[in-house]
Amino acid sequence: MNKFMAKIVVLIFALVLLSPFVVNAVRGVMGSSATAIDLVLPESGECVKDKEYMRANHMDILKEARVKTVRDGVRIKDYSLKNCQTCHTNRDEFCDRCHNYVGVKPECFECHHFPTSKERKERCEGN
Amino acid sequence: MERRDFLKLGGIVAAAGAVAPASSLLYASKVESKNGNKYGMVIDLTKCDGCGECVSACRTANNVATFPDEKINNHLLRIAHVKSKFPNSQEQAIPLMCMHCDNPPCVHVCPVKASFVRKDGIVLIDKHRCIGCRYCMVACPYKARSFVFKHHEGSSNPEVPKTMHGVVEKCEFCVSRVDHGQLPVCVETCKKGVMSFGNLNDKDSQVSRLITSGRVHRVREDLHLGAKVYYLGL
Ligand code: HEC
Ligand code: HEC
Ligand code: HEC
Repeated sequence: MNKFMAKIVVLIFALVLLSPFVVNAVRGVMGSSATAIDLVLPESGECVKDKEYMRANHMDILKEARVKTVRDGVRIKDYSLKNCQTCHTNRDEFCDRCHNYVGVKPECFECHHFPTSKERKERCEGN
Repeated sequence: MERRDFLKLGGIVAAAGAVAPASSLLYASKVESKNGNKYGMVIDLTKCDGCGECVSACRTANNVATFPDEKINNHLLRIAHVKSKFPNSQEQAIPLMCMHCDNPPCVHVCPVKASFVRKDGIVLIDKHRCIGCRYCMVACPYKARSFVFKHHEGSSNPEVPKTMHGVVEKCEFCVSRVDHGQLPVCVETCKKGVMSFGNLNDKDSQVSRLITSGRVHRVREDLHLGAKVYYLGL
């Protein structure tokens, strides 16, 4: 391999290596959306705790509520999964969308009824 | 103080010290709730004709899976038809469910402490903890528990969770209904008034009065498990 070819190869390698940074830099300059997912949020009302807290700690809230409910029979209405559904009506557009993005797969909904938008639509048409 | 009095006092203190821990142990072994409720049921077999309405209501209300294969079908409440060996004896329908023992073998064998007795005496499974090992099913002398062998879609009553594949389920006296001040669904459904449900610690409740009438029996009373489901006419 001659020197010229070697330079080309190094250049291509560098370009490939830097491409994500370049793309993101261009995106930042163009001002496109910073979040990769757009969650469908309730139009009105406030969450049971503030947004930042919920983002970080909703699983702990739910798990504490379930231990209290099942073990002690203390039903905390605010933190029950039933209550989340009153505002976050569609699971696929909210919980699932974020969970798929971050790669967690809670199996809660194998047992707990938390409708997706498809199920909700089917129910409406059935009635 | 005289030497005699001092010794007497010492004796009394020592005796009290010896008795006190024993009495507190006795107290601890009693199942008692914060508000002093202890739930139980009385089933009047003389009124039961085995129509099975309670069973279907139970299945719908608790999202019990129905599989085509009889062998793996689940039940929380079932009706047994028994006939005594005497000639001309009538067939008797007996609704059977979890007996909510005070001293439940299923709870003792559970390796992950998923089964437990709640303060008000209801025996529950924490389905979040259950690993599906089925020791409890072997331990239960009443065959009250069943295992969900397969995945099943949909739930007939979205108000309560269904039980997913791989977890054991049983009658829980419709605990979420009870917590909201309602009766278990079988009691509410039965139009013949076969079942009554209530607080055993309340001397004036219907269940207490039926039990103190002295005509009640429990299934396999010889096992001394302290079952809280009583039968009239067994
Ligand atoms: C095997 C079935 C099953 C699975 C899986 C399951 N649950 Fe539950 N959950 C139940 C049952 C049964 C109850 C008791 C319902 C009652 O007593 O009303 C319950 C109650 C609860 C409660 C309190 C009552 C309510 O409606 O909110 C919370 C909170 C809860 N679970 C959260 C969770 C979370 C979070 C997950 C997932 C990590 C989960 N559960 C997975 C069966 C399940
Ligand atoms: C009264 C309506 C209401 C209830 C009930 C409710 N939420 Fe919320 N939730 C909201 C609203 C509105 C927001 C958006 C807050 C904002 O944008 O400031 C939100 C935001 C969130 C977020 C953060 C989303 C993000 O953008 O990062 C999470 C996570 C969340 N909720 C989870 C839950 C869970 C879990 C429950 C059940 C215990 C629940 N919420 C119950 C209204 C509700
Ligand atoms: C903004 C993103 C976001 C939204 C929206 C969101 N979650 Fe989560 N959730 C997460 C993340 C991230 C984790 C994992 C945290 C961890 O593993 O430490 C998680 C974990 C959980 C867990 C625990 C899973 C486990 O296996 O332990 C439960 C339960 C849960 N979420 C329920 C919900 C429910 C119900 C909703 C909808 C009402 C919801 N989440 C909406 C981000 C979100």
